[in-house]
Amino acid sequence: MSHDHDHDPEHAAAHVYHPEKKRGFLRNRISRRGFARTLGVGALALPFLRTLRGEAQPATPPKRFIVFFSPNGTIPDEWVPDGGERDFRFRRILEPLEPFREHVCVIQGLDQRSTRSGPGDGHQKGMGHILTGTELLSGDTGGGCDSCAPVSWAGGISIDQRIANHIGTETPFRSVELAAKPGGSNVWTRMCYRGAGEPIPPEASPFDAFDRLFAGLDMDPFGLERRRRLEGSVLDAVQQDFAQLQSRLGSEDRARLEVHLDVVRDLERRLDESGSFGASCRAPEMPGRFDVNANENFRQVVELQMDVLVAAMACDLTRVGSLQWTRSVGQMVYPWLGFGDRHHDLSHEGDGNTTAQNKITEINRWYAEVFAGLLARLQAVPEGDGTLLDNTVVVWVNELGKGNSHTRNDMPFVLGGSAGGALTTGRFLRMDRPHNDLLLTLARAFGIDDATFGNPEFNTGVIDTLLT
Amino acid sequence: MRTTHLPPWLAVLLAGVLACSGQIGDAPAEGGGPGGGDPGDGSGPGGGSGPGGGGTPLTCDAPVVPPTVIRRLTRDQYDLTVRDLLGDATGPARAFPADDDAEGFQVGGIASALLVEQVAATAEVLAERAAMDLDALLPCSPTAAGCADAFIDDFGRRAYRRPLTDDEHARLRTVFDVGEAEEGFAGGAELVVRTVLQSPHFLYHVEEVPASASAGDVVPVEDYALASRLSYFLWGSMPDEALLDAAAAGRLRDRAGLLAEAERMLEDPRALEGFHSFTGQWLHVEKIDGVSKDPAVHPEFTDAVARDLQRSLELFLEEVFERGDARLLFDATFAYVNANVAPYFGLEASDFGDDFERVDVDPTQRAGIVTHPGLLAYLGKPNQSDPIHRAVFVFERLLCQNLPSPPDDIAIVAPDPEPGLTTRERFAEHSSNPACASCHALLDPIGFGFEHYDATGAWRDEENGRPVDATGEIVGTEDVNGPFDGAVDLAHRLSESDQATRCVARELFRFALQRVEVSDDACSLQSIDDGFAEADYDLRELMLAIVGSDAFRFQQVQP
Repeated sequence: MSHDHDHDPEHAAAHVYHPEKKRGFLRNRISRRGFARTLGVGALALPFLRTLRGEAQPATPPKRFIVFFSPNGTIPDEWVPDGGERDFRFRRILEPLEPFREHVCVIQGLDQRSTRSGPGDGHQKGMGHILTGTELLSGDTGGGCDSCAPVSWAGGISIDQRIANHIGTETPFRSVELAAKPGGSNVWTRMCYRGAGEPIPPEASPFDAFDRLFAGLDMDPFGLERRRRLEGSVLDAVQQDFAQLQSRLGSEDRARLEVHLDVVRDLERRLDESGSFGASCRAPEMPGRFDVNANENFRQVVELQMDVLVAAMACDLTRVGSLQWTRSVGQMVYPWLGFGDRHHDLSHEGDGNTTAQNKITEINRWYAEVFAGLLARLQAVPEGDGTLLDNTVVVWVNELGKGNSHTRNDMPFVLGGSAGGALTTGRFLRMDRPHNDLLLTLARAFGIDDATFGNPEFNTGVIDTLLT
Repeated sequence: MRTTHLPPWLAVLLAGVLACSGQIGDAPAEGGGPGGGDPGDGSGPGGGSGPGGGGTPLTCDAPVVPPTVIRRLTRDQYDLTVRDLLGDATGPARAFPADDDAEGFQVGGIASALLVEQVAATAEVLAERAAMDLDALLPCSPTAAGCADAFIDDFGRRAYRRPLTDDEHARLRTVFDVGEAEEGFAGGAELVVRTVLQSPHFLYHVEEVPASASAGDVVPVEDYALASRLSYFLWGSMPDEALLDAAAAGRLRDRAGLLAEAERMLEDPRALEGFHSFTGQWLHVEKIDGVSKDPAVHPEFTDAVARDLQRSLELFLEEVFERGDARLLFDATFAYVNANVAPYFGLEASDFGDDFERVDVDPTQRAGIVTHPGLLAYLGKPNQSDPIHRAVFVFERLLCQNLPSPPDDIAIVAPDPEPGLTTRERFAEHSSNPACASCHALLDPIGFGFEHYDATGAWRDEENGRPVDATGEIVGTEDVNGPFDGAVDLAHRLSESDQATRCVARELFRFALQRVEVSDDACSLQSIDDGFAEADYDLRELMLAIVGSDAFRFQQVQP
């Protein structure tokens, strides 16, 4: 009767669940999960999906927003380009972006000034402020830092969710958060927040992400109708349970259950919705399942998560997404770069340790290759007169500026894509402003007219030069 | 040239830390506990039992407990619950998003879209499976009159861990009828299971209070909710029939009845699962099988070795639990060994097979958990030892003393290493920078005590051809301070430390209540600490002391 102790989140997927392998009692239905893959088709075009909704692609392609995260700071000397605004030359780290130089905007000199305020250690603040621009909450989750007040979560909504509130309500998924090896659940590992104290966990398995997004889309009309009937009655009863219970609980419990109930309502709404599948809508090609938490599979997970997210956007299943590669203080090892050191350990080495500095440069350069791979995927999807990349902005963020000093000044921001022409690209910009200004400017690029983002104290205004 | 003078800011912090761990301060949750409220009712920090104490004596007449917020089942709890409820041991929640970390323990925090969708998808699959074996699911024959209603009541009572209300029964009956219209009785049962597995009454630890209670009142935890507290603490899973019956009969209302039920449950094999769930999180045991090492340096450290090192530590903990004496955690000199792990204890692999055997270890090299190679491998870098994280483990997990992090506004430039130095020599350079020295004066000396254990936890007498120096001096603790030589010496010091045994109690409290202690818990903690000491540090008696405490039996009404 020994308890099986392999529950570490880092290794959970060694035991991933295979729902599609089980066929239930209601055997004449088409299982809604995993159908696309049981057909054995990769890059499956989804022809009769369109007939379900009968919707053509909108005349003007929608704008999309993606956050791309890599951890532990950069090496500024190898990150900052040489030269001027238009005639810049990439140095070692960003060199892989050369094919996309007309589509990117490199910004030097944005400081996370909000992190000079509130509780938390350097990594915690960096991770929790980077997309929220406001102080962390104190509380009992996390801890480990008695010199600061204990820290629970970020203290406000993150920019991706602010944008999702604005543009995400017409798609089946308001937003999609994907990751590779994001670790456990604490303020070091979460960057997306629905609101203060409401972290959004990312999906660490591209296989589960695939099932979540693409399964069910291929169901025939009869099966769909049947599913609506059964699932509708289940969700009705569940919602009644929630409502009745909430009326008997205290205010804090009620609020917590409301977050849960909101999602249940979304599930019911989704029964009647699906994407607006344009000609470029293809389910991504998925290999057989493997352990998504094994270090040696990291690169493949990264590739697949990008495949899944880009396909979800091409199919208009969502317009907002994030890709989180490991976590702040991530201890990933990158043996394919020729060394076995752990990332966070390396980031603590001093400036004089040129071997370590070289290794960190190589790691950040590798992430630049991944970033370029994401831009290439987006560019490969034709849309309107251009490509999906034109209609997207990808924001590359890091929780720190430079690792060994844990500074949150001079954050290494790179934008890819112009959000449908709202942002200017092909530029290297130097400035000296709080990073809240960039978050506010991104909101503006999506038509949000807020006057400030995050804590107003750390705003100086929209960065006009970024906008067209 | 170790720096032993602490800078003023650190000295102040340490004083705060000591005061807190010594007398139940409010440091862990300053600015609000889980409920965010300040402690009220004049129950300020009181005199604890530690040497750091010395406040005014506690008055512990009426129960005082802090406000708490509703928790979801953790992933572990979900998996064991569906196993006991449906006989499904596939562990579906392992694919759910990770539970929140609270001081090292997993807590079911606020829900997310991803989680709710996975719960829904899992409910669908589990319900399909359950409906395939109606005999196991139903308390009656599907053709018998009234079987649908009997099933709803029976299954609902076990899943919600209390009897259904009439409303709830009627709702599930409606769902049943929809499913039955499609697929007959099994279709109805399947849809009921699918609904129940998504209900807040299944997914959350619901603890309702009487409608007449006012905000801020301290009231007894309701009978069935208390039964669930008990079973999730001791077993990590749902109550059994006997426990639900005890709740129904009101036998948990008085302390003696509650403790009698707890004693019965501690004799059940599931109590060992509960203990493993606790130690798995507290001592990182559950993470050992995921440890890997740099193959260029440690090709011998295979996945099978990591897995068996975890098993070895689990077997060690089983014996500690069976024997009860918590001090065995620190100074026991037995171990469970098979061929894969023998070399890590300095034994010949060829003397062992695949099965584990109990052996006596070399008492000059090993004592208790802090020298277990599985733990030390977890607390080791891929290619070298890791004094810092080993020291942090001792402070945070074994002494319940959180460490300060460096001042945030100082730019820290790490020292450059020189080739050919020992780990100790390289780290000694920390003292060249005052910003580093402050913290490392605390950490390094303890960490150096582990230098006889390499990245994999194996014993070594030399590093880089030079003899290991594992001497150090512990500072900043309550009762473990002073010079020492090696981790075995440290382990014996811990076995005699009040701070260490009290920390065991504190960690178990956090696991039991899924929250960190706050000043409102002062009386509960004192009764727990006293009970543990009086029972000569028996782990079962500690569990009973926690069950019998006000913190376990009472709750504060939310606004």
